[in-house]
Amino acid sequence: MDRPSSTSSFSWRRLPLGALFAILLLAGLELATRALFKPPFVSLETYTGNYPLAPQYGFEGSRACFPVHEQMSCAPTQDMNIIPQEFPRKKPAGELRIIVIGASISWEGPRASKSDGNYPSRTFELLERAHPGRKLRLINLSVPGFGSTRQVIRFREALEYEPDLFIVHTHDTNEVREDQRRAYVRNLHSGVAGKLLYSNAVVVLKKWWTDALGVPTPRPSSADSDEETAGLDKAAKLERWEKGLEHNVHTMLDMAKARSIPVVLVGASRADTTDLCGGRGRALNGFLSTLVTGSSVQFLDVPALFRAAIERKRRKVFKDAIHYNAEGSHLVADALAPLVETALPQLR
Amino acid sequence: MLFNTGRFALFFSLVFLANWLLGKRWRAQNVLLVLASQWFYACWDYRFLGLLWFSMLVDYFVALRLEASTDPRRRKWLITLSVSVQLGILGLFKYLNFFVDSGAALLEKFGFGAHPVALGIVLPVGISFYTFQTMSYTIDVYRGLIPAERNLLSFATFVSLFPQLVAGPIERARRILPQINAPRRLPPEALYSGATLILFGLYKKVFIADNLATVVDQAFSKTESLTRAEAILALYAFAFQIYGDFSGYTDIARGTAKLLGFDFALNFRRPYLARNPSDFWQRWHISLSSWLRDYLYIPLGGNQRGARRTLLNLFLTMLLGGLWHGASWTFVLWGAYHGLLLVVHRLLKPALSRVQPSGAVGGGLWSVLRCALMFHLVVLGWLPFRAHSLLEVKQVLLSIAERGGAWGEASTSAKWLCACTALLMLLELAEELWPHFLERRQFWARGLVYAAVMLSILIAGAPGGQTFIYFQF
Repeated sequence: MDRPSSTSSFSWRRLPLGALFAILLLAGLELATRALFKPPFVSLETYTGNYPLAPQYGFEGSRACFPVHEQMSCAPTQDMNIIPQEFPRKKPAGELRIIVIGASISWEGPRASKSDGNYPSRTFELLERAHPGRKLRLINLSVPGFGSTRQVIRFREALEYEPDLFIVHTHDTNEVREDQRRAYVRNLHSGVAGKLLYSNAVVVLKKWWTDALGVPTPRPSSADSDEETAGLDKAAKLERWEKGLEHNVHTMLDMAKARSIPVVLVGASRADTTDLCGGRGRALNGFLSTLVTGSSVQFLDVPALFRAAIERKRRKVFKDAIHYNAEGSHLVADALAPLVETALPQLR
Repeated sequence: MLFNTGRFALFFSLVFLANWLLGKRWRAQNVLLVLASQWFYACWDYRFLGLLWFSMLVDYFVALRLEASTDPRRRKWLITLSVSVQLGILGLFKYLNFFVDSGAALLEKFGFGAHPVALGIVLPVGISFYTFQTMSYTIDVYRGLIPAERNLLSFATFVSLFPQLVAGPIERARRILPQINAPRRLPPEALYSGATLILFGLYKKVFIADNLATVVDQAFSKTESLTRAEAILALYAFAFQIYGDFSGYTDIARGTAKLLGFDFALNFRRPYLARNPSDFWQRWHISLSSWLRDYLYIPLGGNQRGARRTLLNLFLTMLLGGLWHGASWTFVLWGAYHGLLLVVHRLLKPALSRVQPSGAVGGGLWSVLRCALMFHLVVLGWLPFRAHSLLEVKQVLLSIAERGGAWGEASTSAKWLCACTALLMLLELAEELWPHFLERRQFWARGLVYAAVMLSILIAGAPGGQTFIYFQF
C-alpha cells in the first residue's frame, strides 16, 4: 500500500473537491442558522447553558426560559408548551411579583390567559379584585411534567427576578417522569447523534423535516425510567423519589428563606393517588404540612379542600385522575388567595 | 458490531490506521486483518468462531488434497465431502428447526400427534455467506479453475475478511485471493471512492432503510386490520427499505474494503430499473445470483438440456435461492414467485421481442413500461419476503383486494416514502441514463449531492444503530 510521501508531486486534481465543497456548504449552513435563528429555535448548547443539571433537546420539550441580558424570555420552543412571556430582571417600582413554580396542574396552556380558568390566573384575578390599587404581576413558570428536580433549577433561576412570593406546586406523580426524562435525555445525547445536537443547522433542519412529514415527537417512556432506576425494586424506587422530592422542597424553602421570600406550597391533588408513585399523595401532603412556619411558609391541603366540597355539594372537581377541572381550579384559587394575602405583608 | 455504529467507526479507524502503517508488508497486513476479523466476528458471538474455523479448515485441506490428487474418484469423494460438510453446517444450524417443525405440522395434519423437541439452535451470523464462499472455492479448485491456496493465513483472510464476513458480498476466490497475496495499493482515488461508498451506504441504511422501517414495521404489526392504502404503502416502503438496507450494507462493505486496499465485486446495480426478471437478477444481489448460476443452475444443466429442462432449472434455482434466505415457507414462496417470473419471462420473450416498438420514442416508452411493470412485480414479491407467515401474506393481499378505507395515517407514510427515496431514485435514474453521471459533474454539483446526503443522515438518520436485515440470513 502506498503511503503518502513528501516527495510525491502535488496535483490539484487529486484533491476531492466535491467533498471539500460539501463540507464548505455544511459549514456555511451552520453559520447561517447560527446567525438567523436565535432561541426559540435552540440547540442543545442553549439548553445546556440554561439548565446545566438537565440539558435537553427541545423536541421533547424543555420549555426553556432564556435569560437575555437583563430580561427573562420564556418562548415556545419546538414543543410549544411554555407560556410565552418576558419579564425584566429588575421589577418596576411598586410591583408585587408572584412566581408560580409548578407542573401541569398549575400550567395554563400555551397562552397565558386569565379566562382559561386554571387556578393561578383565577387566584390572580381574585387578588387583583381585592386589591385594585396594587400593581400585581403573576409569572407562571409551570411546565407540564416537571418534577421537583427541575423545579429547583427553575426556582433558583427565578430567584434572580425579585419575586415577592413563590407558589410552589409539587406533586408526587411527576417524580417518576424526572427519572424517565433523565434517562431519556442521557440516551438522546449519547453517541454521535447526541453530539450533533450542538449544531444549530441540524436542530433547525430537524425541526423543519419533522414538521413537514408529521413525525411524532419522541417521548420518554416508562422503560427509560426503568433504565434510570435499574436494580431497584418498587419500594426502593418510591423511597428514592420520596427522598428526592423532600430534599428538593427543602432546598427551595432554604433558598427562599435566605432571601426572606414567603412560599405557599400546594401538594398532591389526591391523598390516594395510585399511579406510578404508588399512592404517595398522603405521605407528600403530610410532609408538606410539617414545613409550615407561620406566614412565611404556608400549605394548601387540596385533598382536604376537595373532600369538603365533594361531601358538601357533591361536585366534580377533577377532569382526570389528578388535574382539576374549572370547578376544582376555582375551589383551589378561592382557598389560595387568602393564603397569599397572609403571606404577603403588602396585601395584609 | 454494526457498520452504522460509533463502535465500528472506532474499530475500523484503528484497523485502517494499522493497515496503512504496515505499508507494503502485505503478509503482516493479512495477520492484522485475520485478527481484526476474528475480533469483529467474536463481537457477535465468540462461540461460533470455532464453527467458522471448522468450515474454513475443512475446505482448506480438502482443496489441497483435491489439487494433489489426479484420481477422479478420489477427487469426486473429496468434493462431495466438502460440499456435504458445508451444507451439513447450514442444514444443522439454519434448516433443522424448520424441517423438524414442518415435519411435525405435516404429521399432525394426517392425524399423528407429533411433539417435536424444541432444539433451540441459534443461527450463527453470516453462516450462509461464508459457507457459500468456501464452497465456491473448493468447487473452483475441483474444476481446475483456480489453484488451491497453500497459505492458511491467506485463506483465512479470504474467508473471514470482516467487511464481507456477515452479509457478503459472496466473493469468489479467483477475484480476492490474488489481491490478498500481493501488496495492496491505496491511491487517493481509492481513498476517495471508498469514503464515498461508505457515505452512500450510510445514507441508504440510516436515512432510507431505518426510516422506512418504522412505516413497514407498523403495518406488518397489524396485518389483519390494514387498509388498502396502508398495505400498498407498506409494500412500497419495504421495497425501498430492503434495498436501502442491503445495498447500503454492501456499499459500506465495499467502501471499507477499498480503504483496506481490496476491490470487492459489485452486488447491486440499480435493481429497480430492471426491465425484466432476468435483468433484475443481474442487478440484485449479484454475488448470490451469479453463485446460484455458476454452482446450481449450470450444474443442473442450465439451458443446455432442452426448453422444458431449462425452465425447470430456472425454477429450481430460484426456489433454492429463496430457501437460502431463510428457513421459512415465506422464503420458499418468494423463491418460487421469482422462479415463476423467470419462467414466464422466458416463455414470453419471443413474443415480447416481436411487439417491441422500433424508434427512439417508442423504444424508450417501451422500456419505461417494462421497468414500471417489473418494479411492481418485484414489490409484490417482497410481500412473502417480509411477512412472518403465509397467513400474513394472505391478510395483506386481502387488505389490498377487498378492504378500502381512507388514506388517513397512510398519507404520512406516503410523504415519508417520497422524502426518503426521492434523491436516491433521481441519482439512480441519472446513473442509468448517463453512466458515471455523478463522477462527471463539476465539483460543485457533486458537492451539493454529497452535502444533501450528509444532511439527510445528520438531520433525519434514524438513531440507535439498527441491525441489517440480511444479518439474519
